[in-house]
Amino acid sequence: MANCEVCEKRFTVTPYSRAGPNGGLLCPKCSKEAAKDEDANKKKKKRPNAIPGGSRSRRGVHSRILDGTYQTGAKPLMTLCIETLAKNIDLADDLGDLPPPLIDRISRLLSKRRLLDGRTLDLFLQPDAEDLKVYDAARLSSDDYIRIFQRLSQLKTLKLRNAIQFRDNVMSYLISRHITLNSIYLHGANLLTEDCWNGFLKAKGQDLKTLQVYFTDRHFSDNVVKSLNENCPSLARLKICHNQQVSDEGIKHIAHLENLEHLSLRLVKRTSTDAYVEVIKSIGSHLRTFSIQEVEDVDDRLLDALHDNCTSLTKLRITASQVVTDAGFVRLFKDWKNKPLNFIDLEQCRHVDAKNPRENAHQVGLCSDGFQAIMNHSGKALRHLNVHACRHISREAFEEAFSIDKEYPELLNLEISFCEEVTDLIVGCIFRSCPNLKKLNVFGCMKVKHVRVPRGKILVGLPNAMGMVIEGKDD
Amino acid sequence: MDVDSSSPSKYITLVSSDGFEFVVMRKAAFISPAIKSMLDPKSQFQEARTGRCVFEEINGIVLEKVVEYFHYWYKYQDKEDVPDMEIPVELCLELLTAADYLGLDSKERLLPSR
Repeated sequence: MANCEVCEKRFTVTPYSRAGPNGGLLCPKCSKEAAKDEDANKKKKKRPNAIPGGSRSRRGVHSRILDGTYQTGAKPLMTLCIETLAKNIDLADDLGDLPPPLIDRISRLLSKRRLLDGRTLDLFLQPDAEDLKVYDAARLSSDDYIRIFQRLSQLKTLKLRNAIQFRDNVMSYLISRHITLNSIYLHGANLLTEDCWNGFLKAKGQDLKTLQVYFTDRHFSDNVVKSLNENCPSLARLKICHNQQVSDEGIKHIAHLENLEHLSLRLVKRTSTDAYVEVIKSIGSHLRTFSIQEVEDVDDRLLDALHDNCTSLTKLRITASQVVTDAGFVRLFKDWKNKPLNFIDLEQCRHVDAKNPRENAHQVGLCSDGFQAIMNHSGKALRHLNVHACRHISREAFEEAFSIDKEYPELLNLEISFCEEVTDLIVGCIFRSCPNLKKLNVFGCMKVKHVRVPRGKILVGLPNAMGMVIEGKDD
Repeated sequence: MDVDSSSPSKYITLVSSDGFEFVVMRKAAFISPAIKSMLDPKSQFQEARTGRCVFEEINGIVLEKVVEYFHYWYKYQDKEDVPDMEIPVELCLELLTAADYLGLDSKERLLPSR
């Protein structure tokens, strides 16, 4: 038996009794406390060494580069505040009267962290709000959606992503309310039936200017597209993505939508050139956006139709066509009456042959001449250019397009991944010719090895472990 | 503080609604487009002549955080992998409103002008 050094109580000494700070022994209770303190000290010591310069920070930097959120310098104060707010959203009862763009940013960040549920949704349901944008509605139930329409009687713009539980009963409730939507964006609402879509368009289509549907599975069909003509006379923007039901027939109905300015399609069913040509011939003259994705069979006739009919395009996207030819692109961009475009995406428009991948006798896909024609026509105004996997653009074509006397002041994003001929020199030339470039993607460009990246620009996808090396000193 | 327009002082004074004064480096405070335009010598605002900005909407506690941010930003303006500044949770909303008022959001404006 002995008296404890700290609390001076008597206790039984065992082989496990600890020594106190002054050489005496400690009772079991006090030893436990002492052990805790020691552990805490150890942890504190380890932490600060692990963070700076270690693998975590390097990994973090790379992860942010790929996310597109990378930047040098401190984060804006607003971002810091919004991040703190999102972390502690369970403490907030009310967002007060913040301006709408800020509310939208909070909503985005909450969605990113998957924090948007029935409770946090209430923060965004201000009775006089005209917009509601929920970027991740996966945790909302049918009742939550109905609550949106109960609270927001002025609603004009509705955007819901991952809105799985947006079912027929929600839609019928919306139909029954006096809400006139101008714009609806539904992503993942694959439980809504075709009848319900028809009912909605019939009841609320009159004022609809924007209709965007993603992942609606089998329920948004050719018939629904057909009914747009009747029900939505003022439709200006139509986007149908990842849709398994709309086919050529549906596309032909789009040709009757006379007020349409923005059209984006990404259909699962195989579609043919004829349908698209019909659309372009009919409404091409006032289209500003034309975007079709995963269209393997679309050929040069579409490009010619675009050349002949479109004069106000600013955004053009045709991806994954294996039939269009270089000559077609040259014909499209040469002497085109359309003003220079802001956005061009011709991802994976290339020749595919597993046996002779490098031979391309018929110049299928976007090749050198087409690329130069694009840069000559639209280079001045281009902000985004994507020629991902257009493998047959030659080194000379790149060098010519980005030669010392060429400047593309508007270009912000350039995607040249899997263009095999890209070299260090070309990447350097691109940085020289595009003073405002933010991001350049070079995945799979194996000839790019050691490029110095100017400060403020981002080079993604270098084929080495080093990643990008920024020019200039740190201080 | 009388400032000659040819060589303005390196420091400016920010005053909160409850009368606290903060002396800040001019360069650091200029990331706020609002403060920058207030102090533009061409603008003929009173602030531009005196180098003194009074914020009736921002109280001392919030303004102190804002000033801290100015210096934090100045210190890290060209660095990579910057540690985040601590924001006290209870000030979050007020600070957010102040940041919005002072225009401390756009990435483009925050980039050093070189």
